Amino acid sequence: MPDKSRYALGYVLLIILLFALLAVSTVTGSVSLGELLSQKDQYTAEQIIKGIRLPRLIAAALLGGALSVSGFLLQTFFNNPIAGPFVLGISSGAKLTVALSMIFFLGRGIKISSAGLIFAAFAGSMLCMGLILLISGRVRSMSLLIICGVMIGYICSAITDFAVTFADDSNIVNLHNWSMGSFSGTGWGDVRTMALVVPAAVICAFLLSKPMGAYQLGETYAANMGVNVRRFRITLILLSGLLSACVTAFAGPISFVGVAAPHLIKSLFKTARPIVIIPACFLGGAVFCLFCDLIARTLLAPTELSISSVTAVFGAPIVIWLMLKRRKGAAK
Amino acid sequence: MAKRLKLLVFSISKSKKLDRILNAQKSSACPTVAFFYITNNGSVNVRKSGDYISKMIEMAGGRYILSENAGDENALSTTNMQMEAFYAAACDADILIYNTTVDDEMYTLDDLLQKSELMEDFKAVRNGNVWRMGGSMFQQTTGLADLLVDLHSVITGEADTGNRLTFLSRVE
Repeated sequence: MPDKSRYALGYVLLIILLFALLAVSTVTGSVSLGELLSQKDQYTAEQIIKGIRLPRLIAAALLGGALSVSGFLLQTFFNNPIAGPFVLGISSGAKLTVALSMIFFLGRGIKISSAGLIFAAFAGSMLCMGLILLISGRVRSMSLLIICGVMIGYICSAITDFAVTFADDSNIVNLHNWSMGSFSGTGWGDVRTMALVVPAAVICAFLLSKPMGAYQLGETYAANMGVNVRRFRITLILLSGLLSACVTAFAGPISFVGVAAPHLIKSLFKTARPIVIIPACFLGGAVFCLFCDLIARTLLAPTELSISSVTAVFGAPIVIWLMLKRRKGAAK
Repeated sequence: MAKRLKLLVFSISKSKKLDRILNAQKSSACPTVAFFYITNNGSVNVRKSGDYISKMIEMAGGRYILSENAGDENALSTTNMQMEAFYAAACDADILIYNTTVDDEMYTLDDLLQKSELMEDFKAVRNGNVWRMGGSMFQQTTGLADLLVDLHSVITGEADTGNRLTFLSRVE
């Protein structure tokens, strides 16, 4: 099949899936469509859809897309298909700083704003990214880099647990609930903040498609093409960190989307060209998270599964498959 | 001997209060009550239908509005439910009791609305019938009797006539 037809078909498929999932998710939930229609008070049904489900679905789509693009940027940066914000410990860094901020501010009766949460998460993700970059300067093996990332994630989680041990009861409950990861509780105010940050960062990443394409062919090639490699790398890291920080700030740590979604998209489009893949990654991440969120909130309704558990169930096998495929490729 | 006497007087005084509540005529249209707190990720922690708090609400003359939604399939006393399920079930509750023994960041109605803007649609919020349960109720073995008295006062409206409450206070 010609490339352009495949891309067009891929985009059409993703858009259909996105709208189908949005439609199904709008009418499905712990309160069924039948119950909604039979509500004596039509206002209640409207509020459940407009006030609870729609902001949540938009958040799942935006943040899923953000995670997927963040993963793709990291994979480009490290030239490693298994790199992702969760795998490299960047989400755990964001989780650590958000947890510390929550303990510090909530303990003093101060509510943290959405912007404050994003800032805290961004600082944590940049801290871990700095560590990963330091290690990547010394380590040539990509698998070793991933192991270091996993270890950094464990260290951050251990410090978070340590801080939580000495927190107030209410903070422990709050942090436990938040660290499970969920799109619930998202209001229109949160969606407005996400709608400012995520599309802006994704558009910036898309505008970098050309130098990114050159960078995929090697740093020397990119430099010969006139790309300021140092500035390009910093921009890539900042954008990736901002996107994953935004997700952690609003929904807590969500695993494997950053690795699984870009990989599925690259397999579907049979290319890694950023100009094609970045918008597709955004759509793919949105579809993946909407699907996982639908399962999280309907499987055991009226209670809810953690979104990270569901994304791990679907995402982790993809990562294993990817590692085996890579190993097989290396053996050949 | 003195300690035994104190204990006897204490037990008699408590049981007299409780007898009055437990023998009181239950109204056919008893007020509906929801007992909950909102977690940091937006879900709502509620008592299960078989839990002793839910039973005490019924003993005090109320009806626990979440008895159908909050299952009773395991030994846990509480469950987290999604906001939409809570909204559908408890929007018309006559009385809301916010459990601040776990989440103590709730003193005013504004605090409640900060946790979820949707709470402003609740009948109890509109009617100013929101209460917070604070203090160390769960650490006091003798606190149950006082809580039952408090619940009865709130449910029957006696709390508005100046009855002093031990664990419940109105959220304004």
